[in-house]
Amino acid sequence: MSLGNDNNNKVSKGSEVVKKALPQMLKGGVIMDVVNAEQAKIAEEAGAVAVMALERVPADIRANGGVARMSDPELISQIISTVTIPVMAKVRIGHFVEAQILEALGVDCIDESEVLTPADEEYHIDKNKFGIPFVCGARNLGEALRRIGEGASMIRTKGEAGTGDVVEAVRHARTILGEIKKLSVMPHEELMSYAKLINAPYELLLQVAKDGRLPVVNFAAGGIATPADAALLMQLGVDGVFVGSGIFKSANPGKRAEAIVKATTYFTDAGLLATVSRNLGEPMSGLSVHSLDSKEKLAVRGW
Amino acid sequence: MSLVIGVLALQGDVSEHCHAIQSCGSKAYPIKYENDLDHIDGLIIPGGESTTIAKLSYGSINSAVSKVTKNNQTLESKISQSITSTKIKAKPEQDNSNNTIPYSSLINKIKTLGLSGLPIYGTCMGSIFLAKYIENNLNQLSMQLMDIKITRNAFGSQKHSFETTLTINCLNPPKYQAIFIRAPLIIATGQNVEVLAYLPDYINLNQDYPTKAIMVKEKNFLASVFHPELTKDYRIHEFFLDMVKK
Repeated sequence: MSLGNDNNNKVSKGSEVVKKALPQMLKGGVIMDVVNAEQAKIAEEAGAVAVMALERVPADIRANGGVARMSDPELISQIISTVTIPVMAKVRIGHFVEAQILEALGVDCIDESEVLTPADEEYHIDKNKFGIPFVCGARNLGEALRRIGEGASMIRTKGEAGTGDVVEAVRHARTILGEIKKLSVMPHEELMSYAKLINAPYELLLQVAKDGRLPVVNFAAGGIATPADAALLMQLGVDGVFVGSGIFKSANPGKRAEAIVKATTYFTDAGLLATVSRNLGEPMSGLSVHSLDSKEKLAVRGW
Repeated sequence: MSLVIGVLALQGDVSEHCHAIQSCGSKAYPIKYENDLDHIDGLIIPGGESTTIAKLSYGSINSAVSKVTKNNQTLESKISQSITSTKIKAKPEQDNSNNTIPYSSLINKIKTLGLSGLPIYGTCMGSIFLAKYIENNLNQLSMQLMDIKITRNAFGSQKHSFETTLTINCLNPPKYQAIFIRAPLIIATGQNVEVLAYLPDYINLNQDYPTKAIMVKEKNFLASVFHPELTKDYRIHEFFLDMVKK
């Protein structure tokens, strides 16, 4: 949809290419969860490419329980006015009015997130209707392509948010990247049945088979807590990482944030990874994914 | 002879630039370390986040910023001072074990190579890195190679990002579809800077400026605040490759 309103039709805002371009500028970077302006400043100074503004990090959402919703617009506005890097914020799956509010607030990107309590258990937001980009979670290629079909301009592998356990992030990244590799060598006549098998839009699947990658930027998320975790996901082949609870639930957030930024850039440089990983203090204590009851898993939300 | 063009690969839309360079028949070479610079004929600084690159380049933003701030304040009003009069020496903090890696050597070497004639093209964030003056936001660092003053996020947040058709007279034909993403704007240029394109006057800005340049050239440096690498029209990359050939 074009929001061109500069008194003429020569300017196109909110076009598909303009929306996809913002995540392209974030590649190779770290997007950090922050719950107030002070944390946003620390994240920016540590070299974050963007911040995710929210009231509670996923670890606290887990601990506190209850219904998790979009954050207070006042908090989001404070964060927007504090930093110069892009600001993202989360809405509940399917809650298009929360998304309208965030667009009006002037956030740079909306995360339709399984970390919040879903508002709709059948349908996601029609993201093509919005003039700013959306990022959505995915566990596999079918889910990623359904979200892109709805208008997502960026994908993040879900992992299991708020655990500090990287195992699910690895599983989801390997699944999506593995399926893409498989597609790129699949005979053409098999593609339609594969699209049916994974419930993916056929045209998008054809494009992935041809390009050998998703048509949008793909970051990893959910359980990344150390520089080594970030570098692991980068070596697996994602375009960048989200770090949620992993930074501000650790003993020394500023230093850890900086180390994760460096590890994400120099992700194949083991000597550098060894240097930046030193003396970071206690990481977030964490929660093994296998200790979670199936009802406690956030990644299964999304349809 | 195939030219080798380096693309600074610390963060940002590196692969898009590499693809553009390859589509023009040259070789692209991602640059992460000082030694990577030894074999290139030209360099592109891509789009990305300037605070992130500053952090990665200098180790610590704060230690270097105090010096840059001083320079910016004394020189801000004298836009056409010669490049060599501004010397910035950024050194990483020594008291923090995270910062013992001399990231700044990469940027210092690029600056030295630029001053000795290496063609460098900066897009969006890259143009900020080439500018001698950055308005309002002193918590930024640049290599100060071009005699231009730039303001970050001149158009506002992502909902104000846009695409439009420009007229760029050094291209043939001059019509060019350009993409601006949270773009900066060049608001003053020194006398040796050639302005290749101005912002069309139908684009609204929160604040007006006497000069609104979006693509400029000075000696071996080229800068655009928009992103040619995001389109399939690679004529601006070809224009840069022509600069490299000369």
